[in-house]
Amino acid sequence: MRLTEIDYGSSINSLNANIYQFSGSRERILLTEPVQVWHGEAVGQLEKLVHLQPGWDGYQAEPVSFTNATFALRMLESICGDDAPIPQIVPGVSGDLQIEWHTLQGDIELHVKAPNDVRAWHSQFTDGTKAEEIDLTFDFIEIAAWVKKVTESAIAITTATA
Amino acid sequence: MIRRISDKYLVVDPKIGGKRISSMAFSPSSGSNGGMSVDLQKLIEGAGIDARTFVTTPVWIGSVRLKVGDLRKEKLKVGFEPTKANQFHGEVWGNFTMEKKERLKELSEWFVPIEDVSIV
Amino acid sequence: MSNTAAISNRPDHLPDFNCPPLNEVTLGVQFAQPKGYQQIYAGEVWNLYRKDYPLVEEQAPLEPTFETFGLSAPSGQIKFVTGASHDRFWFLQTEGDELIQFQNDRLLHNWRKVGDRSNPYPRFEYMIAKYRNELEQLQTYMIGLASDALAINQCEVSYINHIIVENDDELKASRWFRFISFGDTEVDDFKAGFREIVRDEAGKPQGRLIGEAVSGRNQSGQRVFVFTLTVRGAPKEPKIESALEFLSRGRELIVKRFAELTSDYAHTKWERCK
Repeated sequence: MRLTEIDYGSSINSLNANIYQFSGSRERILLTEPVQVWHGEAVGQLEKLVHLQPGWDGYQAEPVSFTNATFALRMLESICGDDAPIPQIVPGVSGDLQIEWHTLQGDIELHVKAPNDVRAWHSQFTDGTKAEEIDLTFDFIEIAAWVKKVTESAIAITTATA
Repeated sequence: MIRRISDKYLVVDPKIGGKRISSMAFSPSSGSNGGMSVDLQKLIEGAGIDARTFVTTPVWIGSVRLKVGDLRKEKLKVGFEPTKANQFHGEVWGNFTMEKKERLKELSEWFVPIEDVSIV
Repeated sequence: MSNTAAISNRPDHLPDFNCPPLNEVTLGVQFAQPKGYQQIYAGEVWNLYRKDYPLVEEQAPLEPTFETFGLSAPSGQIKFVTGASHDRFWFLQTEGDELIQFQNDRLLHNWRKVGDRSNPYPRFEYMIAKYRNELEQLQTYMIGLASDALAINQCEVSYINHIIVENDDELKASRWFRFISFGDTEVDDFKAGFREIVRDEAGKPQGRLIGEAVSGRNQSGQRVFVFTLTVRGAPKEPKIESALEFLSRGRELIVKRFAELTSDYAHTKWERCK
């Protein structure tokens, strides 16, 4: 959004750095800073989903919207620790999408209907936590706890069987 | 009625040791009047067309079948909504909670099965 | 609203300066692309503002931006490789100091120093009154395209300050900023950033204050410290009124933090009067 140009004198890693486009290009360029395995995988899945052909479901489905994909990735960054399991991402028919984890400990499904409009659900977990379905906007601390539960249990099983 | 199941709707579930259909396959479109698209088998066959051929053309996609009566028992409405691309198109409307979507999966049976994939 | 009226409407409790180093102020909202809108209609959008903003430029689009909350603050930039995207248009006043930025999911209003940098800042109250009008005009237009009201999902207010270094003594960051000190070490350049969660009355996260201080040179070659404070987040409701409320609260927080984070020396230079 900043209009005036400043010579920073060093490489920029600013929180607010402008995105520079190659002149004449109308393509959006992939630029991420993946630090976790799940992150790179999620970006890859979302890339495919924003490129789906209209009617991919055999009816009139749209590709996942760029806006919803961006919001979904921000949501994942808010809720996944470094060792979170890789989510599975399923498209909806209206540009929406659903992020899913299916583990031996239970299932989590996060339906991103639009930015700030998420229907979150988890099945009964093996530790007895009852199934729950809630609506969220942009504060995902509650579902961070769900993801932690399935992450920790998965690590425990991996460690036990190693 | 027939609901097409794209491979984009398939997820891996270690609890069944393989792939199954996501709940998203039984979700409506957004918007105040959004419904879940279906193909009306009776109308297709009434027009003298093989239903399995119809729902796998021009692109092969798996599909499941549900009984209209079962949907109505779940308090869902089914209606005929032809489109330019599909004269046998119908829609299902209602409140698609997670519980409802799981019930729809349980009530479904394969019509054009996807190999090695479970419905539930 | 005139500048005089704007000054008289300014909240009394806010710090104020006679000569602040303010270089640019931006008010912005992001919204879901309205149904029925396509880039071909951008010319009609320009016509809404053309009388006061007769010049136009095309820029690369801004990517969607969201503040979310959970375990940690998301970071890094996200872009996906997609097809053609909607340009960002600048609708400029002839003097060039105020402009509107428009794309299919954004409307922003900028004020900036131009030319010999003598153009005065018209004040937030003046800017937000104009911006309200611009948003309402856009919304009316979009409703006319068989759409709903704007569904605003993010708001952002930024204050960008250029602190011009006039002598060697002023090269030290600690001269200006309370939160930066390199002791006796002379550094060639630096960049410092921080983020703070902004909470609503109930204590729930609503947005973030993002601060960034960086050394550099301006277009005239002068050494400057650029100090940017931005508040970004979702409005309570996706409506214009709620968005404007968010921007106003954001501005208050920015002004307070600016005063808290800059030094007494800086305040003397900038003639702090409140």
